[in-house]
This record gives sequence, C-alpha cells and structure tokens, in this order.
Amino acid sequence: MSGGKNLIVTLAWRNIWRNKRRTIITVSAVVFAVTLSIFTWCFAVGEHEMMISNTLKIHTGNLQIHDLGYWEDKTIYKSFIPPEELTVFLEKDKRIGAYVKRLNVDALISSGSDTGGVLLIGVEPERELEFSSIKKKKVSGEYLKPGDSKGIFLGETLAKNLNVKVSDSIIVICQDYYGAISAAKYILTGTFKSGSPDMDRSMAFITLDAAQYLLSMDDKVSEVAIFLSESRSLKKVTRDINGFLDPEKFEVMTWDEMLPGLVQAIEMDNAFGVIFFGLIILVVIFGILNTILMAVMERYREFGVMMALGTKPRDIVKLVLIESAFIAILGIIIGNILGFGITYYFTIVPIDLAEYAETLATFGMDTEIYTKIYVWVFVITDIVILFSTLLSALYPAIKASRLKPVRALRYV
Amino acid sequence: MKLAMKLAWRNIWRNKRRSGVILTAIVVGLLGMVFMIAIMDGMSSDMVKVSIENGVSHVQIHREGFLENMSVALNIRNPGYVISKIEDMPGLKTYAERVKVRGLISSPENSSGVLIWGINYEREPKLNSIASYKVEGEFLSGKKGEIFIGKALAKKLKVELDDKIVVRGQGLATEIVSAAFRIKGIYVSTSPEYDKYNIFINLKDSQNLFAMNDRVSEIALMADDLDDVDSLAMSINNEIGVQGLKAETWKEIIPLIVQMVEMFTAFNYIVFVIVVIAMAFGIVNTILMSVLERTREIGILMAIGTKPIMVFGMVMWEGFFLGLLGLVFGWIITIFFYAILLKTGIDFSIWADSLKYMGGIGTTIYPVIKGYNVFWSSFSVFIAAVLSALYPAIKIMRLTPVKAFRSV
Amino acid sequence: MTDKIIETKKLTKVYEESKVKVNALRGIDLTVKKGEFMAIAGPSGSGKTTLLNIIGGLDSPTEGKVILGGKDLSVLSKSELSEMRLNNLGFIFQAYNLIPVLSALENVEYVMLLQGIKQEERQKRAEEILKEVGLGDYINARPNEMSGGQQQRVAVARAIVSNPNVVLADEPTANLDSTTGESLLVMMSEMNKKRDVTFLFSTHDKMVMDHSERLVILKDGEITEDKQK
Repeated sequence: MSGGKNLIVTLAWRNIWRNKRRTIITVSAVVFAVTLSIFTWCFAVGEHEMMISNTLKIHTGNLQIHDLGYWEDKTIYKSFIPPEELTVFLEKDKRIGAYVKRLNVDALISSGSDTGGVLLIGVEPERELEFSSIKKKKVSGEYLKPGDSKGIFLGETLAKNLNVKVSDSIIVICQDYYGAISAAKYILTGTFKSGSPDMDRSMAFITLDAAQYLLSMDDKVSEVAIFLSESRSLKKVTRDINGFLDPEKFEVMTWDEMLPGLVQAIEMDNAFGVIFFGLIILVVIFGILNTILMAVMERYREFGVMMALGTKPRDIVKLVLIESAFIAILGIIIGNILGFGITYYFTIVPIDLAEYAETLATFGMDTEIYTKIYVWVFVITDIVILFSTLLSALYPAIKASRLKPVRALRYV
Repeated sequence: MKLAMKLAWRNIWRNKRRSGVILTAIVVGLLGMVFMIAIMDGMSSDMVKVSIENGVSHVQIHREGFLENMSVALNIRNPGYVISKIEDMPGLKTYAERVKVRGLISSPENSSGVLIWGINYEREPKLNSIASYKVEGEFLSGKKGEIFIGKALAKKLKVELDDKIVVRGQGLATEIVSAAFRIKGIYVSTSPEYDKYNIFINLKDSQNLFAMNDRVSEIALMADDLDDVDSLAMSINNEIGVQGLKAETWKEIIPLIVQMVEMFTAFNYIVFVIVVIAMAFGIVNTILMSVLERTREIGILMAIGTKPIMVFGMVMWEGFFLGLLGLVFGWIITIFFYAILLKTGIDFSIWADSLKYMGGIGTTIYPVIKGYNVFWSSFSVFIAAVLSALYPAIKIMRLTPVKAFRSV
Repeated sequence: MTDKIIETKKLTKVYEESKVKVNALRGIDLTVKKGEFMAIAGPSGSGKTTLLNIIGGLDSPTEGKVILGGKDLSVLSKSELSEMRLNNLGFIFQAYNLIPVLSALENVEYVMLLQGIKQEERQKRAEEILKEVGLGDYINARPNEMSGGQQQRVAVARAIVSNPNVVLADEPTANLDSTTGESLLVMMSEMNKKRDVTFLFSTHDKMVMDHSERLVILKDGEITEDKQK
C-alpha cells in the first residue's frame, strides 16, 4: 500500500522536527564530516595529480621505451636505434603529444676548480621544448639551442657546486662506448631549478648529437620518452606499442613503473587520508548513534501505542531508518554545497604553503596549491556518509522494534 | 561546588548506555588521534635518527662554505689541532675525521657519479652505522687500496667482491686524479639511493689520492645526548671560529628533513582541531539530551532553593567528568596498544619505496607518543567535553521552575 | 501583625498563549497566619497551582504582590528568590519530588547542604527526621527503591528539615492510594503541631480538605469561599 508508505515518510519528517535543536546539531555533525571529506579529498587528489603531472612534464614523460634491461642497469651498452615502425607510429598517432630521444650516461664534470659526478643527458632541444616545462624552470641564461654541440645546461645546485656562471667552460669526462676515457669541453648556456633537489644537483644536458659524438655511439639512444596529449590514453598507447615492438629486444615502461617512489608516496598519503577520514566518520557516527538512540528511547511509549494499534515491527524499523536518512540527507545536501563552495574558492585562490617549499619540491609539488572539483569525490563521500549513518541507526531501530507494546506503555 | 560535582558524577552513571556510547566515541577519537600523530612522530624521529646515524652525525666541523659546494679546496688544514681543542669538551661522546669528495666510479662495464668518503676505519663505526650494513666481505681495515661500496652500485657497475674499480675525482691541485681500488666489502643500508651514491675508502688513501696530505674535509661529532648538540656546537665555534672553521648541527646540515618534520607537526595540530570538533558534536548532543530529559528534576532543584549558578556548575561538571572518564579509559587502552606496538612496530613495507623519500627510514615504523601529543590530545578531548557542556549548561541555567514543570 | 506569615495583595496572573489570554488569577487577597494548616481547593484550571507558585516565588504575578515573612517578593532577584526559598520555604510536589541520583538521606541533606550546615549536624538532623517520618530503615535507599508513599515522606522530611516558615505542598496526595495518602496527611498534621510550621496545600482531594483546618475554595481565579474549621 503506497499510502501507508507515504504516511511513514511524513511521520519520519515530522518526528525529526520535534526536537529542532537536537536535529540541527546532528545535521551539523553530518555537514562537518561531509564538508571536511569533500574538501580534503579534492585537495589531496588535486595535489597528487599535480605531483604526477609536474614530475612527468619535467623529464620522465608518460612512458618510455628502452633497450630491454636498460632501466635495471642504466648502462650505455643497453642502448638502441629507434626502429622505423616506432618512429612512424609516434609521428602519426594523434594521441602522442610529443616524443624525444635521449642518451644518458654517468660522467664526471669539472669547472677546473671543482668537480662532481653527474647524469649527463643528450637531448634534442627543439623536441624537448614541445612539452617539457624545463624551459620555464630556467633561472639564468638560455636553454640549449638546436645544433649547439658546445652548449651545456645545468641544474642550479650543480652550477653552484661547480662555481660556474653562464658562458664559463666546463669539462665532461666519461667512459665511451669502447671503454676509453673521453673528455670534451662545453660552454654553460644556462641553469634550471626544477624544485627536485636530486635533479638540480645531478643533471646536465647537452645536445643528443654532442652526446653521441662524446660516447662514440652514432645514432644510438638510451630512451625514447613519450608525452601523451591526454594522460587517459596511457594504457591503450602502451598496449599498441607493445603490439608491434619485439619484447625480446625492448621494454615499454609507464611512468608508474619508473617512479615507484612517487606512486607509493601517493598511496601512502591516500592511506593516511582514508584512516583520518575513517576516524572522523567513526567519531561523528558515535555521536549520531547516541542521538538517535536517545530520540528513540524517549519515544518508547509512543512506539508502544503505535504497535498496540497494529503497526508492524518492520515499520518501526523503517520509521527510525527513514528519520536517520532524512538527517543524513539534509547534512549531505548542506555539506555538498559548503564543500563545493570551499573547494571552488581554492580553485581560484591558491593555498600558500611556501613555508614548506623544499619538502614540497621533493615530491614535485608547487608551493601554491590549487584544488580541483572532482565529482566522484562528492559521490563517494555522500554514499559513505549515508551508509554509515543508516548503519548507526540500525541498532536503535531494531531495539525499538523489539519492544513489547505492554512494556513500552509502562515505560515512562 | 562539591555538591554539584557529586550530582554530576551520579548523573553520568544514570544512563549507562548513553554514557557508554559517548565515552566510546571519545575513546575512539583519542586513540585514533594519538596513534596517527604517534606514527607521524615515529616516522619523524626515524628520519632524524637514520640521517644522524648514516653519517650526518650530531655536529660537523668544516671550513665555512663547504656544505654549499663540497669543494675539496675548502678543507681543514690542521685536523690534529682542532681535535686537540675539542677532544675534552664536556658533552662530546666521539668524533671521526673524514675526507669527502664528489667523483666518478668506473668499472669496465659502467660508471656512476658518487660521493667518496675517506674515513678513519676505527673511529667511523663509532658514529656511523655504515659498518653494520655490511652484507658481503669485510669493512675497511686500514690496508691500502680497500673500498666499501653499496650493493645497488655494485650491481650497476656489474662488479663483485675483490673486483677492481677505478675512482676518479679532482685533487687539491685541481687536476683530475684516479686510482684503482679492490672491493673489500659490500653493504645494504636502508635506502638504495644512498647505496648507489656513497662509497668508502680509507682516510689515508683518500688523502693521498687527492693530494691533501694531512688535511680532511670534515670532522663529525656525536654528543652524549641530542639535547646537548646546540651547546656543544656553540662551544666548539667559540674555540675554533676564528680560523674560518664552523661547527654546524644536524639541523643545519639536513634542513630538508627538519622541514619535513615541521610539516608533519603542523599537520598534527590540524588533526587535533578536526578530531575535537567531530567529538564535540556528539558530546554536545549527549549532554543536551540528558539535561533536557531532566528538566523537571532541575526545576525541583531550583524550587527548593538551588541557585541557577549551581545548576550551571552541575552540567559543566558532567562535561568535565565525561571528558575525564574518556581520557582515563582512552589512555588505558592507548597505553595497552602502545606497549604492543612498541614491541612489534607497524609494518609499512608496502610503501617501502616512498619511505626512501623520507631519508631512508626502515619499513617498520615504531609509533612514538611524545609529550606534546599527550598534552594536546588530552587537552583537546577535555576542551571538547567541557565546551560541549557550556551550551546545555547555559540553556538550563536560564530555565525557571514553572517553565520546567510545564515542559513535561 | 507578627503572626501574619503570608499576605497577597490583589494578585492577578494573565497567561498569554498563542494570542489567547487566560486569566489564571483575578485579584487574590489572602492572608495566612503562622502555624495554619490550610488547603486551597478547586477544580483543575481554577488557578490553585499558579497561586502556590507565585507565593513560593517560582512565578511572578502580572499585577499585585506577595509579602512573605514581611518581605515583598517582587523586589527580589532570581538568585535572592532562590535564597529566600531555601531559608523560608519547603516544597512538596505531586510526584517525582526527589533527586533520583541521591539516597533518601542525601535528598534530605541537600537543602541543609545549600544552607551551609556542617556535615555532622546535617547527618544527625536528616537521620532524626527520617526516623520521625517512619523511614529509619530506608536511609540509604535511592528513590527508585522506594514506594510512592515513601518517596512523599522523604519529600516531607526534606521540606521540614531546614525549619522553614511555610511548607507549600502542590497536590501531595494526588498520586497515592487513599490509605497511604491519609497516613501522609496525619504525619504532616503532626509536624504542623509539633514544629509550628505553616502548611499550605493545593488540592482537589476530599481527604486533604477534611484534614485541613482552613479551606479556601478557588474558582476561575477568584476566592469563592474561605472557611475556618
């Protein structure tokens, strides 16, 4: 009977307004939990996406292709000449934003007065600039120019360690492909500050041609880094490339395989977030449980009358659950509006964490953090809160339905 | 006020289920809050501890500017003199002199940029855990041509125990120098990044290789106690500061870790605030309900001559006792779990790789409940309870007996 | 003049509830002498509880005033009224008189405690009076361990113990069976004689009217009868 159902809903709605103050406090608790969850969650997801995109944009790319085993050994002997079908695919496919060839080698770098170990990277400057944010990170001089076989571009910390300025000459010494010591002189074109202390201390860029010449490696490269126009297409692109590349010769690695530390840092952050959120929900839910329990207990007599009149225990359970659902839904609606408002505000005005600049930089984060609205965060929060509120109402509801009318009537 | 207290105490026990539920909420909140923060603090302490034990030590003495660019030219010319000055300082536990030069290590297969440590093989293990990380061969024994490298580096270079490798770097006379070493031992520390970058040779060999004679890059010191560090650094600076040398504490040497710890701590305070607000909602409703259902009773109290202020006091005491009971039960359970976790630790090995971002701490985290955690979490719970009582207390104080009787 | 303990002058009380004005009292002039044992009777809605509440300083009149033991209640603050009630008045209500979390002894002690009487004396007096009302065996019982009649006896003991001038009792027998009610009344009457305490009841119980020495009948907020027995 639909009429009966409607009556229970009406009854529930009126019941929650019998004690306005209590309902308002309970709804506020829900609002608090919902707002907090939406904001902190959107903040965290936005932060993680930023960490990933910043890190990928600066150097790693969404995926890379290496000679099989290169990532493990990082040696110039695991290098390759990009096969025809790969370059054709990368040129033609629309999902590919850009791709670059690089040659990496560990080398000794010296300014004459000071020396250090570096990761020397041969790059194609015009291609790198198609996507890389490294140009934006430049703090002095210029990035490498295409064809400039004498230029070298260094991390800011490294340049400081070597005590060199733009236009100073720098000597690079390394072992070439044939095991002989090879040295060459370069001119510093500029320096960059990526934020990652590791990168800024240990990376030096020269042109790919210059690197291949230094190492006597002709057209061989260590890696082909690929940047996607849309990061969503990662899985499909990886699968497509694996489709035509010989797995006995090459390895196709996605960013998460190359940067397990970043992935796990995010996972750990998520885990802390879930624990924290769980704790807040638990504390709030106990409060709600108590309120509903009391609201039910002070109405024992009334439930007794209802049951004496023939209301089924099941309907009592329903009544209490619908009342709690109303409270949860009210809280969720207001919480969503508030959560949206706060999150939206911080999509325009960044949260300034300049105080922790260096720590944030290690994780590839900017000091000004903008939030982003994620609809799924709202949806999941709402479901979790609604579900846990109903769960907390279950005990009082069942208690009320188990009452014997006679006992309930005697209960004052 | 004794009477208000007595009434409040008994009122709490009137509805055991209600008090039980809200106490559970407080206990869960406290437990969660204390342990979240204790885990963070455990990580922080580990980060600091591991860094200090992996060579940072408590204090380092260098020529001023060395930390910025680690130039071989910035060295300590007369380490013997410096040591004689500091050796007997109160609070100093031990010291070790080192040469530190950045260079390149090469095998026939590969090469890698590294930090070369020239160490005193006898003194270094007293303040650096490096010797204890040995997994193959032996630690340095002072004989010529020995080298001690990380497993990750050995793998990269494709070398094994007793293989020869070449170390290259810039000497004091600005020329590039190189020498061959034989792998005496291989270590695995807490961080593969560390293992790839740090290689150890004998102090004498490093001084010969880089033409430094008796000079060293730094003298590392351990204080008797972490709290003595600042005063120790200060007294050293008073002694040797005039010679262009400077003693710097671990806080100045690893500012990144210090900042990370600060960020964790800032986050912890946010946890206090949020948990307290969440708790307060529950407590406020519980006290409000328990007061409202006693309206008539409170009306009678007032009719027979109880002053409103005492009724206010009674409700406040109820909040006070709820908070106090929550704290007592909460801390009993917290201490119980703490005792267990102090022994077992918490396994974080699924996040092993990200922990290396945090200064290479181990994968088992031991929570540390620090004084400020005890204070602020207790204080927060307490404030939540007492503040929550305020609204019901004010409401009921304004009640008149006649209204109270009519409300039933 | 001195034996005039309560005096009301032209007491009027108007309740305004959702736009409807209810005249609960319409100009009550009543004088009560010390040591009287009197009842105010009338049907429900006649204003007897309102009158009692105003005399006890629990409610304030719309017009007119109450002079209690020579003091005008209208000039007292909320806290002074508490003080006045504490030292001059005892209250007995229809039901749920006692503080549920306190034992019989503690309930009786409560008022003396507010008055600042010392522990030993408090205890001695409370025990004595509980014995006097026939509850010597129930000193440590909590209200929920006692019958309705026993609870009312404790309420009487509590009202008497601080030696008030007047005890105001609002339908004290309404929730009791007639035997229990009768014995409670007999007890209160004894107290009235022995201690020279004024008792003022509001009631519609015939038995209370029979036992009282003076009966005032209230109807629609006005005194219609005032007879001495």
